[in-house]
Amino acid sequence: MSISGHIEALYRHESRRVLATLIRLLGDFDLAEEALQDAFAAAVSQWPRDGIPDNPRAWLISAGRFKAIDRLRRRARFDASLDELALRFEQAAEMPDLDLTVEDDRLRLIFTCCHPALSEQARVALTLREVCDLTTEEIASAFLIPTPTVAQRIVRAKAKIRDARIPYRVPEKGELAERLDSVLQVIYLVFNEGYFPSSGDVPTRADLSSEALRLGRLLLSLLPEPEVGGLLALMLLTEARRAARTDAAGDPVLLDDQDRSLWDRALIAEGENLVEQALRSRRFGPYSLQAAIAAVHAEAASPEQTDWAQIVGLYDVLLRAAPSPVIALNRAVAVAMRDGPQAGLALVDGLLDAGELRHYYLAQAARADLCRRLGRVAEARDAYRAALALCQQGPQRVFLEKRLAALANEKNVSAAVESPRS
Amino acid sequence: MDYICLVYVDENRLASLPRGERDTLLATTCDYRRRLLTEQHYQWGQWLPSARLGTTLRHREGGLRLRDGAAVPGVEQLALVVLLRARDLDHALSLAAGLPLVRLGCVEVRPLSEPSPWARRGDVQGREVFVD
Repeated sequence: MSISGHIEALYRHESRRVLATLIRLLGDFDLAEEALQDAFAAAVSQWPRDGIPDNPRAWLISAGRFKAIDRLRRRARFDASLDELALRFEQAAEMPDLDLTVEDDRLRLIFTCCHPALSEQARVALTLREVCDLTTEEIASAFLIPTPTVAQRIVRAKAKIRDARIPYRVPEKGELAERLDSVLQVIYLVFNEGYFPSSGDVPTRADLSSEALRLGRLLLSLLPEPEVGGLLALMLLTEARRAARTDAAGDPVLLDDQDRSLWDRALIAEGENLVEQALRSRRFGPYSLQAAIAAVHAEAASPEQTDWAQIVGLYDVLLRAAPSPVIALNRAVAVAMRDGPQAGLALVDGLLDAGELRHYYLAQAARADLCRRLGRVAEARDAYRAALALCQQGPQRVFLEKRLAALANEKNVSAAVESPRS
Repeated sequence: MDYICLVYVDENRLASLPRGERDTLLATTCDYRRRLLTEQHYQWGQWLPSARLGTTLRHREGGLRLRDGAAVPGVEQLALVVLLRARDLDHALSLAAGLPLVRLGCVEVRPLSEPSPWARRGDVQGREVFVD
């Protein structure tokens, strides 16, 4: 490989590690990013002449640190306080064995970017920028928001980290669970935006989901906690269905109607393995439970063979661990599969009456589907229309419109005669 | 670094506390203050009288306008201000969480950061205005 090719590969594989360590050594994101660029520029100019150093990563970190000191020295001509700072960096004890601390630095970077003192949007943008090395433009186009908005979120987050002194460290045992939650939430948010985009005209955005998977794998390698494995399993088991999730025209296909031969068996096997590990640890949480539900679906060769009783049971545990109306809705749909649409509809109506799901289109869509199966065509039509009024996402709207149009061919039949699907 | 802790509580809830609970709250607050003082985290603190005693002033075209009450309406009002010295935000948050009054409301923790030496000019506008 040519030296420039070697440096490019090094940038791809090592730049985030080098950055994470430089942030710790220099105590500032912007200074560390400048130092990272300077270090690679130095490599491009020196390595062809001097050869590739034995430990390129250590060389880059060291070069970055000295370049930062140079920068501070140059700026110190206008601001005397920087001189003292440059001196402090110079005098700092020689760096300890880098290979031992470098992985800790990556974990520190993740926890700082996902600190709960930052807004959720800022956490997502900062993590994708600093940990995944996505550009501001890439983040903006993935989330369909203007680039300046993303840039501003990142600038403000960095300013808060610096001015409020958000620490650069891995939380201690006592606070780890809570802080880890905040990290998992960011990763799952990135995955979901890739798998169920909240707006726009494409049904899925694989780039964001694969970024989330990469983050999940990285986090699990750095911090092998059961819930990290649970989240990774959930994402893998969901990702496994991607090819079956849309038809040739790009329209969404419901789980029941998917061609299961298109499911990715390798991802399923990896996910199932992780779920088992998480459940066996007995320290699992909501992500592991959702992964377990996804695994039950993955095991069934056809929708009819799905173990709905087990799924309802898992939803019961999940509702106790993490009560939420959306999980209650999913449980209601599972109950409808186990006990028939009438039982499911009673639960869905109870949730809609409680009010929290009134503006959630999937609640109306679930009601519509259950009414359709009960032959209550007029009610189904109203519910599909209510769902359409709430849904912003192009392909999902097309799906709802198709369902609504198909209703026109169905006659109103008495609810009592329909038997449960089994 | 110094952090200012702004503790907000529902004054009606505070006023309706049974006498015993009120005494306990005051006593535990005193104890906690003493602990922070010994550990050299406590810089300064002040209980505030009811926001009902406040008067809010605003410059409007045509002159000043006065209004009875707090500047920002709401059930929870500023009741206690504490200035703490802490290592970093996490440390300050854990110290603030120990303030007994916070159990009755919430606390906002704001850094009194010195502008970072390499902060671009304009990042910290106006912070020097009230410094002699």
